[in-house]
Amino acid sequence: MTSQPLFKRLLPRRLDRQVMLLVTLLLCLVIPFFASLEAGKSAKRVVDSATRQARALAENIAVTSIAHIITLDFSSSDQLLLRTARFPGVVEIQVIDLEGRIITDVINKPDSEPQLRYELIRLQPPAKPILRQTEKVGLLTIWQPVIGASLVGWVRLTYSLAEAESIAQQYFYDYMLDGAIMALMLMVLILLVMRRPLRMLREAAIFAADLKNKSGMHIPVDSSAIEIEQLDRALNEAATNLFEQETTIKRALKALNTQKLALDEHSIVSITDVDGNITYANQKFIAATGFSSEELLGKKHNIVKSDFHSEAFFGEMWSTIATGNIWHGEILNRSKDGRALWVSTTIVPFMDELGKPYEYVAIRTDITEQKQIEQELEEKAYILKQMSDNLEELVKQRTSELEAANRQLQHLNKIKSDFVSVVSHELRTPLTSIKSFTEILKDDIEVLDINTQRRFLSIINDESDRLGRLINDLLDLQKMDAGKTVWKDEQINLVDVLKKSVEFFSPAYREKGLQLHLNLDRDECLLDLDADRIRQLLTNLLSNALKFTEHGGVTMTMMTTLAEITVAVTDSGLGIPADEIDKVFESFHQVDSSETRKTGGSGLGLTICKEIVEHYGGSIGVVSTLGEGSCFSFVLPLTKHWERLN
Amino acid sequence: MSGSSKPIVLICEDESHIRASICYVVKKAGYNCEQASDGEVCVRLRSEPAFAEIKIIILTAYGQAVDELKTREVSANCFIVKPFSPRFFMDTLAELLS
Repeated sequence: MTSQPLFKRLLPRRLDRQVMLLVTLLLCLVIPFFASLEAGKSAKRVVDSATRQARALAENIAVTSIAHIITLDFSSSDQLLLRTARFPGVVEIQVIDLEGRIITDVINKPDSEPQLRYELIRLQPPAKPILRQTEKVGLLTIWQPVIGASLVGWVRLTYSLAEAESIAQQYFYDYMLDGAIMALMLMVLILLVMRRPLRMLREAAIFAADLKNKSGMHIPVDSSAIEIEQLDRALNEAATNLFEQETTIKRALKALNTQKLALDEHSIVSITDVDGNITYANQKFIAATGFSSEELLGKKHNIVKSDFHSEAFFGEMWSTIATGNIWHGEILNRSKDGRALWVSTTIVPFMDELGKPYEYVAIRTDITEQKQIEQELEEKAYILKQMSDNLEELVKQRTSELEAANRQLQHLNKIKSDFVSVVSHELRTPLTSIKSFTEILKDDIEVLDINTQRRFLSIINDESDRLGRLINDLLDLQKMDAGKTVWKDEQINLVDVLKKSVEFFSPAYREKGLQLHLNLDRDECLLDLDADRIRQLLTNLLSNALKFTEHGGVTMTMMTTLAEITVAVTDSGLGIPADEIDKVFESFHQVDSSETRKTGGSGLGLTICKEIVEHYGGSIGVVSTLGEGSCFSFVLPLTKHWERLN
Repeated sequence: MSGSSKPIVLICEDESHIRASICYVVKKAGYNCEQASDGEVCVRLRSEPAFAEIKIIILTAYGQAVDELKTREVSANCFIVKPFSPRFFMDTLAELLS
């Protein structure tokens, strides 16, 4: 304020007063100027008039004084000058001759009559006989030549211009007064004319000054001045525009507020500056992160950052938003107390006029629960997959087992089919012989000799026995399979059973030209066994060896250890092919059907042997070389029989 | 000479008693009788065009459809299921040779 120029400080602030001041100053300058100008003109006219009067007086004196000078008539000259000096303004008059000698000198002092003066003797006249006048200190001096036939002398008249100047002064005052009156009238007129426009201007100014509160209001349009009318109209338009703009802004703000409310209600919202400092965080942000508003504002946004994401992840995010693009993504944040906070995030950069971001608005939705569900689902899917894989594996395994079982069933079915077929064959074959020879005997009994009859009846008998054995074997096996066999276990000496079996078979072996040996490692072996079954077992083995051996012999060997007894029947017979050896214990398995039938086996002997040995917890097996012979051996464990053995 | 005019019956049977019984009734009926223990001879006979006229009777103890099919593989003229009556066999033989 102190820096304002002085004139500005002195200048009144109101325009009407400024106008008044300016007009006053203007009039103060103009009126004296014009007054002095006019007064000067009037004064000049007065002085000119006085000069003309003075020269006329000087001329009259000069004309009259010609004779006086020539005749040196001093008294007439004195009279003339005293008279003439009575004219107002005349100060002094001298009449002089050519040499400058004073003829008459009259002085006219104020407030007294003109008087003759005798003090001066001589005056220096002008060089040339022409009118000459000089003005000095309000005094006009005129040198008027006195010319008769020639120049005879000079009249010198000194005239006072004080009167003329006084008149000029009077003119000046008169003009000033007139000017002042006119100025006063002019000011009054100006005030009258300008009063209303100025008032309207002031009102417009007040209206304009308070325009922000005048939106939608109107100032009365004053048509006293076109500028004010324009101003009023402009102000009214501005007020209307302001009202409309305010209405629009209010509506927009309301809509924006509603949207913000909706956004804040739904989303976690924060705003950061270009460096990532938080400038705004809504209530949901505060609630979700656990930080207070004070803890968040001004802090870097990485206050909620977790270590889950890579630097490259955030690098990509910053490069996206820093170039003005919107970024979408899912971020794992960390709350104040360390909770995981998954948010689906949209970051919108706001750009300045230069196209540089100045603010980032981040809008997030809490997807923690969703993520947890996703994770659980993934885990469950993984478990399900594993279960599915396991199931698949199990199904494969089961399928494989089922396929194996199926193959086994097919095999069993074939065995059954073979069994039926073989049983049928084995039953029909002896039956055929019986039937044939019975019919022959019946038809030809008369023509057949007694020996032939006996032979045929013997065949019928043998074949009946064979049929009976087969039926017994079948029944035995069926009972063993069904677990219905009655085992008549009693204390027996195994050595005795072995000896008796060998004795029983010795004649048959001898008849075939074969040797039968028995090797024992002890004399007594007491065990709880079913004697008939053991006999059946040994008979089957020895009868098989007999059937399949053509040369050499058969040896039965018994070997005992602390744990088991092994009985082996070794022959030098046909031997069993390697691919058949595993099947010899199956029912009706025939290595060579024709040979089997020739030897008259039921095909069940070894199967029955296996059943008997396994019943006593033992095992039976065979080793064989084709063409060299076989060795069938069974092992009985001694665990339950040990005490008896000792 | 009369021997050469009689048809020859070849009996292929691994069971000696059955073979003996058939041989008995065949000879009794006036045929010449030859014996073999292996049925494989039938397959060999059928493979020789020169023996195409020879009649073959299969005696089977299996009596199942699958066995019947097997016997047809050797293009037998007929088959008889065991146990059979010697009279029935001779009737069949006579019919086949007539």
